[in-house]
Amino acid sequence: MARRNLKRDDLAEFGKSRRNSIKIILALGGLATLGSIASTLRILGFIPPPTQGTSSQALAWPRIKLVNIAAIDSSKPLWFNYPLVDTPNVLLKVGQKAENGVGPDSDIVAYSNVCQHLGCFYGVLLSGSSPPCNLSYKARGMEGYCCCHGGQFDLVNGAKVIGGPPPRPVPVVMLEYDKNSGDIYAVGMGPPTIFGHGPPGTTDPPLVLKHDLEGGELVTEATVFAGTQ
Amino acid sequence: MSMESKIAQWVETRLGLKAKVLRPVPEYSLNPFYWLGALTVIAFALQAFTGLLMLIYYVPTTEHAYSSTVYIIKAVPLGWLIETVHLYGAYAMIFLAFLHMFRGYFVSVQKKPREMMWVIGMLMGLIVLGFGLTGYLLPWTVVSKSATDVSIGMLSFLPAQIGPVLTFLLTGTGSNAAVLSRFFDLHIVVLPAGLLILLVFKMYMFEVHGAAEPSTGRKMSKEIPWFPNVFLYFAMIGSVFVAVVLLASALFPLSLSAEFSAQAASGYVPQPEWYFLWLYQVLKFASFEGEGMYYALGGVTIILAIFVLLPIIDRGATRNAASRPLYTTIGLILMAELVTLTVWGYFTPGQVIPDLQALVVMVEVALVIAMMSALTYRMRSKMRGLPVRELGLRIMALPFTRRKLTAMFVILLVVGSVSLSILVSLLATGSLYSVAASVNIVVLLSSFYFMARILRNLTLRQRGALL
Repeated sequence: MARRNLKRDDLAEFGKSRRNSIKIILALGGLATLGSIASTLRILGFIPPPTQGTSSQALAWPRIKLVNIAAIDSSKPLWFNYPLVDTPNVLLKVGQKAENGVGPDSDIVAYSNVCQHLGCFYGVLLSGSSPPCNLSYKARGMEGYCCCHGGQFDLVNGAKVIGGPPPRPVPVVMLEYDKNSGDIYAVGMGPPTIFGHGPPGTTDPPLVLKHDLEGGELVTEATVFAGTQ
Repeated sequence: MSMESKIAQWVETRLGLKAKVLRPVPEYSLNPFYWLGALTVIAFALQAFTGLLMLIYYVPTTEHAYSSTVYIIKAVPLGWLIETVHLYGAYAMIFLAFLHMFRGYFVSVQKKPREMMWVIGMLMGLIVLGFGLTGYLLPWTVVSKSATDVSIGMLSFLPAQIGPVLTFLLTGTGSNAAVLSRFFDLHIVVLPAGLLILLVFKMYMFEVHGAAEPSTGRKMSKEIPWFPNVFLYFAMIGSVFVAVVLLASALFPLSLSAEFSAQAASGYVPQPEWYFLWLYQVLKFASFEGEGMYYALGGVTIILAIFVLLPIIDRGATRNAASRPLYTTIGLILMAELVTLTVWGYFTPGQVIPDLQALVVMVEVALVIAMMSALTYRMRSKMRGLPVRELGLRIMALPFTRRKLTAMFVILLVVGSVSLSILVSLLATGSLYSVAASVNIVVLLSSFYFMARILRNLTLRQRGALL
């Protein structure tokens, strides 16, 4: 009998101490959680925004030969990557004098193919044609139409946004036309930064140069692709 | 002692099978609805198995991701089946996880003592969606790359304290190669590890608390031992599930879309997989395009957070759906909105939805569900004391006993739906103030009114007949 009581008392004692331990553990756990939340927030601030790579070298736009003017057809946009190997652009002959246009008729332009809304690749519509996602829409001139969310760009007038959600035009690729050989060169990007490079909508030229060249390999030789449409 | 029983005994003692590891389960839980979570785990195991098989050949670089996927499908023996099972297994896993959550919501499993199981389960659900997001990119097709670009693009609308950090963690330098390798690592290492750790916690709590009793409070004390009875049940539903996935895969093998390139992507209408269509559709509402996206993402995050913290919010004692009209109605509305947005998003790729149209559809769905739910609860409260089965039979008999009323109701329903759809299409073209629109509004409201009258009369008469 005595033995059993003793055992029961022991158990009660044990139970109490277990409750105390749980309390201590909970208190410590709570402190640790608060501490880790605070330190996580602190550490998050220290994770550097992606600025690797090109910082030590002198920054300059690469000068890349794209294509000869003879190969450009006004009904067929061409794709090329510039200034990095995975930042695609479209090259177009719009058929009339265009903003930033080069060539004998100032009608050859190139723009980043990445929409400034959410980073989709817009398609190029010839005048009167419709995008695959909206057959009732007819382009009034050479237009970019993004089938993600319906963004529309006027590719004759500096890629001005003429419809849909994009907050700003896509950046222009600065071109150079060599009168003697007929070759077209890409020599830089206009503001704003390419979507996904640096804070959206950065327009300060040195910052545009810095951010556009971040996060990838520079192109050394242009590969030009014909489109599918 | 015979040789077999000697071997059996050796296995039993050495592997510790004699110890009662898993507790017996109550008889009422031998019901597929109690096994949705287990089925999700089986789907996960299937994904792990097929995923490991694909790892033998898959190469996670931008040059080889697509070609190695094609190689698995075309050249590896039964590779097409492995790829397809992995895809459909993912669909099944996500669908089951949603089903598991909604079933739990309606029978209120998050009540004491299972609060933490609910919170952990919600986190596991988010990881499952993360699997979908990261895995979608890996074959490097034009669709999957474009859809992933959009989800990464959305990060740029987050506040400056979180957005850049998250973008850096998810995409590194942001180049294609960096994004692919990080998504690959997330998909095969980080997310599985996270899911397994949470699963251990959840299974432990399940063993402690057991399966939730039926929410109607019906208690059955009979307990069934895990081995062999429950084990066989588990094996049976598990094999049926795997068989269904295998059969679907064998009958409808996947077809891979084209390899990613900017020029191919620009001629394509990108659309996310079905489990993200609801979010895609919300982001296409005109107000949420551009800067307004901030509010859409914030709203979705708040709804998700409320769902994760549901045990803290909904603490009423009862678990029975019949006595929780508010939470049941909210759950039904959420489910209906999810389905509506998904179907709508599927049929309107790349089209921006005008605000007014979006508002009308969203409010309409919520109102219809709320009305139906209110009507059902009113009827129930009037019919209190009648067995549910009896009530169901009486309601099912209605069309036969009162044909004229039923015919009128159906006609009103058709007229109402047609005028609603005309109204929505008028809103889409922006001609809200035309004659056609006002006629349709009148027709819609009057058909609603007469339907409500018919239902009210029927309810009253039924009560008279039954009580």
